[in-house]
Amino acid sequence: MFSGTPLLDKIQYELGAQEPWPKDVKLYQPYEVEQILLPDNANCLAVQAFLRMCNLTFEVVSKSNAEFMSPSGKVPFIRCGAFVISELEPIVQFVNTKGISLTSELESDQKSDMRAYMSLVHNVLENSELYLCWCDKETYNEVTKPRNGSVYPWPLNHLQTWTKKSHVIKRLKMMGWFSKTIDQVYHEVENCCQALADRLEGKEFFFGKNPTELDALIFGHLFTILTTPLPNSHIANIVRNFPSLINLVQRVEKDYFKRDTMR
Amino acid sequence: MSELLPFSLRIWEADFGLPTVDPNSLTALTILKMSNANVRITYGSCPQYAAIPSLTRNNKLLAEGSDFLESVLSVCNLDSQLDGRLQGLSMAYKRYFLETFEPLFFYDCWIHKPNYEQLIRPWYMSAITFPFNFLYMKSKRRQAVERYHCLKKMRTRENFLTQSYEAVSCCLEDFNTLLADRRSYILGELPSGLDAIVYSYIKIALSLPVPDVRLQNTIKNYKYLCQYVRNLTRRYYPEVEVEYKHVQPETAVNERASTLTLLIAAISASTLMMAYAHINGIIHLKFPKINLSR
Repeated sequence: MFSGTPLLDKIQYELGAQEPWPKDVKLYQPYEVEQILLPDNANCLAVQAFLRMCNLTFEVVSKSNAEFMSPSGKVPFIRCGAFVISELEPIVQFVNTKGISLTSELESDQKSDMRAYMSLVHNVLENSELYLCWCDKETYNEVTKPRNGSVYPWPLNHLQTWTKKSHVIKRLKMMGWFSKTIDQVYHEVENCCQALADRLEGKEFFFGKNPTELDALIFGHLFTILTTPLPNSHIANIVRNFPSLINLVQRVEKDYFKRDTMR
Repeated sequence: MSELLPFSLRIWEADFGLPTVDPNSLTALTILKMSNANVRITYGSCPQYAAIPSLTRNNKLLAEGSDFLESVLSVCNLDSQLDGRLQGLSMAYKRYFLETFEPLFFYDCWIHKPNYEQLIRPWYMSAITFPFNFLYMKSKRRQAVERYHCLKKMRTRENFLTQSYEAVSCCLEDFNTLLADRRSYILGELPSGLDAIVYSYIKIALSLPVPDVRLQNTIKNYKYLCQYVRNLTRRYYPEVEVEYKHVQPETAVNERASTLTLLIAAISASTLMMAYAHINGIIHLKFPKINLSR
């Protein structure tokens, strides 16, 4: 568990690096079938994809209060020995300290590009998903509200959903997304997908023949957008207009998840 | 016909050798300069009367508020001269820079007490017309504190700062690496919206006479990035001179103690050290004996 003090955290990281990857690593996330929401599902899937790409063993544990157990308040998080780490980038850093990296063969400019595209995906796709779930009335009433409150008894289900909505709206306002219209949000998603497709240029993965954490992140978001049933499927239709991205999603799913749920 | 009319850009005042002190204002101005657009600049001193910054043409409002920069970028369409791949790269790097550098710069100016109280607040209080300055600063500060708590999330202030400085160092290193081949602009030989954004934030962060210079020192570690900022200043703002209108640098930086104070402090310290050494037998001071018997 982290101390909250940067220096102590660093020392603990370094000490942890000397130990091999334990076999009992657990990945905590909300219940997939009845509870998890689009942005959380995307992030959970991205971390799972990354760990599978690194060939690391882990067990998925579903908890209704996973986000309250997380040190950053965001899902997913992993428990690896004495360490509890949440969100993709810190998990990537932690895995790197064990001497396992998907980017060790990249040039420095490729690493810069990767960080920039990861920012783009975080900023555009994650905020679009949050906007869709919490600001689009139809999606909020039909999907977000019942799913988010499903694990709480009345009246806690309403209170918890209301509190979370106000947090998300605060965040979207801060990021300048709350004032956008739904069409502007779709336009942002389209531009983002176009930028990603232009970069992919028909390659197997973004930086050659091997995947990186960028591929894992994009897989998490696009797979979730494509497979989550929503009242309005416009966002999924936008992604379907980019065959190279669909191919990437199918490739990652086939290589690392070995399921056949894609159409 | 309206295409030939000049843009009218209302921005915050020039100061500290900057064409304007606000990053959004400077970015918009730089985008217009890079696009060779015909622009008329007005300096605003009352944001309640008309938004600062804002862009108009033929009395028609083109950009203001939270999506000001996006609107300016789409009006000027500066990135259209890049090919598809570079347009995507420009978009990604813009998000990367704004997501990483901007929050720390915002903290440094609006939350970090010495910088806010000794530079930012006095500057805006002096630049905005009375009594609107009080109203503006009150609402701006409230928004800033709200935003800071949103950025900080569940972290402590120290953790937030450590992680932010680490992320900013990594981001600046990435831009420094891109510019290491001495190219004119970040994505090659053509200017883009990304150049306007990076230039504006770095130029302002380096030029503000803030009391705590930690962020400035971090930026100064990246020599190609600093050289790039100097080159763009020479190219687009050769006429801007360093002057201090609203806040003098003497009051912005920590006041130096006067020579008399230093002298008194030195004598007192030396006397105390000598007395301590004498009492403990480290040194033996011989005083002349005075014969009182007569």
